Amino acid sequence: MRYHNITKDDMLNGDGLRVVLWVAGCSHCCKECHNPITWDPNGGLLFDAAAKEEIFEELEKDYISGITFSGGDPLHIANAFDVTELAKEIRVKFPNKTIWLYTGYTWEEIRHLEIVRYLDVLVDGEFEVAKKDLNLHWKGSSNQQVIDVKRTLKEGEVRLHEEDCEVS
Amino acid sequence: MDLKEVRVIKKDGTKEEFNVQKVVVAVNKSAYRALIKFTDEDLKFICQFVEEKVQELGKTEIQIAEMHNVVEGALEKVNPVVAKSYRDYRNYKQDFVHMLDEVYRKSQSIMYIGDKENSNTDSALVSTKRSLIFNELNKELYKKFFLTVEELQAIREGYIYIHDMSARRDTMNCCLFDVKNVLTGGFEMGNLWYNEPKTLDTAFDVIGDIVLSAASQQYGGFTVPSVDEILEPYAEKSHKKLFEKYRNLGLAEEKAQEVAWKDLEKEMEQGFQGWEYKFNSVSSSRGDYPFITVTSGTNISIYGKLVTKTMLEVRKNGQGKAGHKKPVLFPKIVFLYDEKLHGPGAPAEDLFEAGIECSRKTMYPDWLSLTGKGYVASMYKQYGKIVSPMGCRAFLSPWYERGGMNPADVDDKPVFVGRFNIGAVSLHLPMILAKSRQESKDFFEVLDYYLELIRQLHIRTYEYLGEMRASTNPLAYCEGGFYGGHLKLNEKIKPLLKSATASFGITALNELQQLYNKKSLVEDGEFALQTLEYINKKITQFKQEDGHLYAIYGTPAENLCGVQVQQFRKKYGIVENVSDRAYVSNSFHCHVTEDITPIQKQNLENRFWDLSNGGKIQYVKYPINYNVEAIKSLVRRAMDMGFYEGVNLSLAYCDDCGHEELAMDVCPVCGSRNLTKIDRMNGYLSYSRVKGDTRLNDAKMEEIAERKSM
Repeated sequence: MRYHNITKDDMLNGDGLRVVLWVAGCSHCCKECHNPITWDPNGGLLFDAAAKEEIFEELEKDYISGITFSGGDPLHIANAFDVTELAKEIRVKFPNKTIWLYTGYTWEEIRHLEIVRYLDVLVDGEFEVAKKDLNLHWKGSSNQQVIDVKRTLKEGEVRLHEEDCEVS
Repeated sequence: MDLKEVRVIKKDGTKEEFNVQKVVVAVNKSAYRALIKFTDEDLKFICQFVEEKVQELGKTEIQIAEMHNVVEGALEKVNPVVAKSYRDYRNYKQDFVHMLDEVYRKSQSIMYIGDKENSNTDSALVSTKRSLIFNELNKELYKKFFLTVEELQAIREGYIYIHDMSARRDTMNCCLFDVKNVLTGGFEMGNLWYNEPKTLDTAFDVIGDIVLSAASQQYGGFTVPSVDEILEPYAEKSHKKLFEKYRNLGLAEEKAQEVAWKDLEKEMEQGFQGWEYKFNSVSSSRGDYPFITVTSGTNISIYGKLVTKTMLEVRKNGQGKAGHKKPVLFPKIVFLYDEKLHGPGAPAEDLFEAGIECSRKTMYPDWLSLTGKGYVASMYKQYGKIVSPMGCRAFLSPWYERGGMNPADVDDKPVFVGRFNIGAVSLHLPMILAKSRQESKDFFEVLDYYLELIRQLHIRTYEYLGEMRASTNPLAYCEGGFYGGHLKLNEKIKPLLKSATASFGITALNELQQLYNKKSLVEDGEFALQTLEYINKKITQFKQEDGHLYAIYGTPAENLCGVQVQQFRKKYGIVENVSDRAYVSNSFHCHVTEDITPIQKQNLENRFWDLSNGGKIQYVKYPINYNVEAIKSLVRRAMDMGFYEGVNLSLAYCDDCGHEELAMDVCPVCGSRNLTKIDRMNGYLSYSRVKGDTRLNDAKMEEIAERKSM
């Protein structure tokens, strides 16, 4: 897996202050994507032990609420396996931290994947510029869903992270 | 020669018999203006000196100018300060013409152009214009009659800045007003006797009147500390009354209890709404809305909690027509945070939650740590005393009941409520560094000169204010609003000034560091730190030598942020990252354009925290308001670090359709530019736009536009 950046104390990509891993590789190619530089799976840097250590170091901090996987698409074929392994490891090592993931795939398309078991919140779906709305919480366009994965799995149908999160 | 034959020719050409008694009257007046009283011996010497000189002149007619020279000669021998005062007064005609001309010029500009020096004034109002014009005159009088030549030179060039010159001749600066002490047992205001309130409703009314009345008699921040403690007994009285009323109407105890509580909640809500209206629409006699702060949060009895919760709820909901509600700016609300009360799982965590909900909508409350690290928390942990902030960021230094500046013994306790500050004078550090380089002098040597200048000014201010009578502010000095404030109307306030603080302001530390080695406070900061440590050392020494409570204050430069740049450029030109922008950075804050995370900002500013105990605040920017957990994490972290913490959001409201959205410049719903915007100035919030028009000065607006991490 390759990645572009690890941002710290981020408050725009999930609850609390988070460490965000921006992976390389995405095949959705959404119109007006805010990060097209990350589409190429061969771009960026190799995700090595040092990068992982950098993330773990952040997660050790008490004011960090958790990690967010973004990109790129963390579930792109070049990333899905490594991201799943990493999420699994974080789940065990840091049971009190939350894991968020942004993907261009829909819940229906990925609900069977192993990784969903380790997620707290999943933001799904491609960015559709026609449905763009700056007042939405955590997502760019209204077709996307901010899914409470734990409750969704338990209750068998999609449950949103904030039921009233559409308007600020 | 017989002195009786000597005539003095006055300016208008008339002649008058020489009479040494006239000299006595004149020199006594000059002495009085300089706060000096001549002894009989002094006067005898002066008379003798003058008479001898007149004899020596051997003329029967003496021009008045010559006569003045003789008197000045005598005064120089007895007391040079009085000689200066005499000389100043002598030149008064010429000076006053100049001064009035200056005031007239300013008044014309205030009448027709407006003034943006203080964002708490709506300078369009007649009352404000009136007071602004008066302020101009008062400022000129202060400069003429209070300042020395060296001080005038320093302020003219900009090495020091004397805050609030327009009010310094009249009164003191900010305070923690002891409302409880005034209310208890009743009091007198405006020659009327007020009984102690018997209900919550009346308490709100009466406190509102006290606050407006007393706040008008000073300049700067007026804080009502621990409002939950103040209101608790009246809430209890009201509750009892309501409960009895419903019992008497025949309701069962449980039902009576339930409706009485509901009524009490309503009474509390209306009380706070009343304050919000009063404090934001009734301008004080100073012509602005007085800067009122209330602090709350540590009283967790059912009544105490109700006070804090209701106050936050009222602020959160805003005021205005339905669909167009906006938060008000006054009173500023400060949440007093005690880890044991408000921490995770603690008994009043609900107050913390309510505070966060309010902060994320309206920025206020600002959060004061009582249990973290540093000075303010140490007073709470050791003595249970709360050092509430005043105005935008000022904190009092401890004053002990028996020992004064230092505790007499282990049982001695510090007092904060009822005390005040007598004013701030700020150093212009980048200019002082530039001067030392230009003159090839040691920076600290030049700094010493200005520190000493400020020190002498403070000493004279203590003396000057001490001559004022209690009648200048009876609620404070006679009715117990201030510590020791039980004087008679005609008594001097001198004894109350012992526990007053005086501030040395520091600002533009970032630009100081930039000038020093072309690095910002993010890249370096060592020199800024070293400078601040040096100032602390000097102030501690001054405190001991003078017996005055000096304090170091991180100056919240609002107008000054632009003025200092102009001053710097005039002497030293445009220097990259020092004077190339329209504004300099506030106190020890990182430059607003720094691309740093809130955690980095907290850490970087923490270095200066314990070195600015007379005034400081820390705040970070939140680009979105729905990440509640982030706000909680950062506020909790700030509380652990011992900060006085602010939540910064760029609030914006459309005045046409009522839409609210952070940081908008055009309403995306209806396309209107008719917006009201609220931004943080520094320790307080301000309208950066009202109905589409700005109330702030250009330099501040430019700073706001460039903010990244503030």
